[in-house]
This record gives sequence, structure tokens and C-alpha cells, in this order.
Amino acid sequence: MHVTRNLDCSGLSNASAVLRIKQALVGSKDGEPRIGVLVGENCDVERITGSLGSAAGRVRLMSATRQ
Amino acid sequence: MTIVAGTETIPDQDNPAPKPEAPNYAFDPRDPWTQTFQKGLERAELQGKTVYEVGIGTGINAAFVLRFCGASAFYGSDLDPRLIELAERNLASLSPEHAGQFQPVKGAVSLIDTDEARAKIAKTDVVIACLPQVGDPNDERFSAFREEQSVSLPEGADEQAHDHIAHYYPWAMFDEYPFNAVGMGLNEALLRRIREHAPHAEVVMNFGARIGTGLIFEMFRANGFEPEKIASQIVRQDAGTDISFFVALEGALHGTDLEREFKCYFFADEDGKKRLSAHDAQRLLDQDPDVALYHEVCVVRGRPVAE
Ligand SMILES: C[S@@+](CC[C@H](N)C(=O)[O-])C[C@H]1O[C@@H](n2cnc3c(N)ncnc32)[C@H](O)[C@@H]1O
Repeated sequence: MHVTRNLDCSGLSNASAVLRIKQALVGSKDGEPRIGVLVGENCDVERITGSLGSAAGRVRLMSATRQ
Repeated sequence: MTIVAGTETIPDQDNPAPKPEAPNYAFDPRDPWTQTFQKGLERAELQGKTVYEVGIGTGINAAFVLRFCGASAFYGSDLDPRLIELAERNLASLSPEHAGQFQPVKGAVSLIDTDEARAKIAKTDVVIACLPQVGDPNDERFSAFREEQSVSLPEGADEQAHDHIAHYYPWAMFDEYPFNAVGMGLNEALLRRIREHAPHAEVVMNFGARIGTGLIFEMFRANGFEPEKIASQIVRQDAGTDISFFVALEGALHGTDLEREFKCYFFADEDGKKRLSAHDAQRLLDQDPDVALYHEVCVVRGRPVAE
């Protein structure tokens, strides 16, 4: 599965990042290309993934520190 | 001290203090948001400074800042081109002796997106603004998000009041800015432009703190400004402003591990002691559309942090 879109969540806390991702995913379906999401270095990628539930498969999270 | 409706100036009977012209397409200058903003402006140390107001409205703050805060020059613009003309008229009647210190940027100016506005911002010491922080209920993408959270739009919320753009902004248009997620896209866009075109300028901005001041501070820091709250007041939630945006935000985190980390700040009392989430507030509104709900309005000064 390739990534076509990127979403900048830098500067956002875990909760705001989840809100932004959920907003970006509105109307998207399984099987569509994943969205690449850049989260700030203070974010907890695991918690974000957990809070996205089944939608987590539609994004690829990248932490700013690991760039 | 406020310049509105003669609350501080005692008019003499034969020569009553002039009142601002306030047509229905302009943000009401008697609104408590403006009172709070002016408290902050008084504390913002504007003496001798060049000030630019983005979204000038009636021009009430131009008159206030020139008259009571000692600013040396005042620039201003607005997305609604009628308002800069109105501001010019109001300043001429409220404070004629300061009219020469006012330099309007005319036409429809979104944020500072014209050459003239950018040239003036580059000469500005302090940018002031009170811009919309709620996505337009008619915005297609916002509607889709709201529907996904099963939040319905209250009756009449999609009707446009004459001063619609004083309260709402086109949400999807500002989606490149991360804090758009919580209704701050327009404000974040302004902070970024100021960093780019006036890297030494301070900002003084007025906010409805329904998402909490913590998040507002995060936005300042993420954009290179150190925030400080310089005025605050609990005000009544404007009966005409839809809160489904905030309800949808809470709804999107419902049942997740992060649910407790994002709850809006509404209050059931004017002292701001009985806190309500947006959900609670909407439930009360559904029972009684005239119920009194409150939230904080605060003025935040942002000082640029050296890169
Ligand atoms: C809440 S009112 C505040 C008016 C005035 N600053 C005051 O405090 O009384 C918001 C103002 O921002 C203006 N506005 C809305 N969107 C704007 C944008 N994109 N660029 C510039 N001004 C905008 C509106 O027309 C309105 O005058």
C-alpha cells in the first residue's frame, strides 16, 4: 500500500493529532492509499494508534524525531 | 476603561459622547468580547508602538488604542471591505484628533494577504486580532465530520447572519494548518504570516477559550511565540453561535484512551465554577435553547521566540 497524501500534525498533542487524523479520514475507505502523518516528537505514537482503532490501518505515522 | 457606549466617559448633557456607528454587518462593539479585548490592550504596553489590527470590525479598538493606550500609529484591514470604511468613519467621530494616525488598508483583505498589508505589517510592532475560531457550520468537510460523529446541526444554525464572517471561518480552506483541527486554523495562519513578514512583532489576540487555554498556548508555542494571558473574563455563550463544532470534537474521541485529554470548557455559571463539557452544554441547549451558558474569553500576548 503506498502513501499519497501527507498530513502535518506537528505541534499537536496526542488528542488533537487524533482529531486531525480522524477529520482527514472522513469519507475514506479501507483499501485506499494510506495517509502519511507527521506527528510531533512529544506525541506517543502507540497511544495515537490505539485511539484510531480500525482506522489506524489507513495511516502511516511518522514521528518528527525519527525523520 | 472602555470607549463603548459612554461607560467610562461621562457625557455632558449638551454634548453627549459620540457612539460608534454599528450596522448589522459589523461585530457589535458592545459585545463583552470587545470589553475583554480592551482590558488586554490596556495591559499590552502599546505606548509609542505601531499597531496593526487584522479584522478591524467597527474600528472601536483603533479608537481605543490611539486614545487610551498611547499607540503612535494604527494600521487596519478586514476581509469585509465595508468595515475598513466604517472604521475610518468611526475613528473620525470618536476620536477626531487621532484620525491622522490611522492608515487603513482598503479593500477585502484576508489576514495580511495583499502587498500593501504585508508592507505595513513589516513596519508593525504589535499585531492585534480577534478572528473567528469556529468552522462554518455550512462547510462541506466540517459537515461530513460532524455527521460522522452523529452530531446534528441545531435548527437555524445554517442560516447566515449579516455578521456571519465575524463568527465563523471557511474551515476546509485552512486545513493545511495543524491547529485547524480544533478551530484555530485561521488564527494559526495569521501567526505564521507574522513570523514570516514581521519576525520581531508581538501579537495580542483575543480568544474564546472553549477548547481550553492550554491548547491555545500550544498553538502559540508551535508557531514560535511565547504566550502569556493578560486578560480574562467569563462571558455568556453567544446565543446565535453554533457549538456543534465543539460537540463533534469531543465525540470524535469518545470511547478512546484520549477521551479525558480533550474536554471543552463551558460553564453553567457566570463565575466559571461549574464546568460543563460541550456535550453537557449541548444537552442543556437542546432542553432549553435560551439556557444561559458561559465560557472564558481571554487575551493572549505572544512574544516571538528567537530562532
Ligand atoms: C469577532 S470580529 C472582531 C472585530 C474587532 N476586531 C473587534 O474586536 O471588535 C472578527 C472580525 O474579523 C473579520 N474577519 C473574518 N475573517 C477574516 C479574515 N480571513 N481576514 C481578515 N479579517 C477577517 C470579520 O469581518 C470581523 O470584522
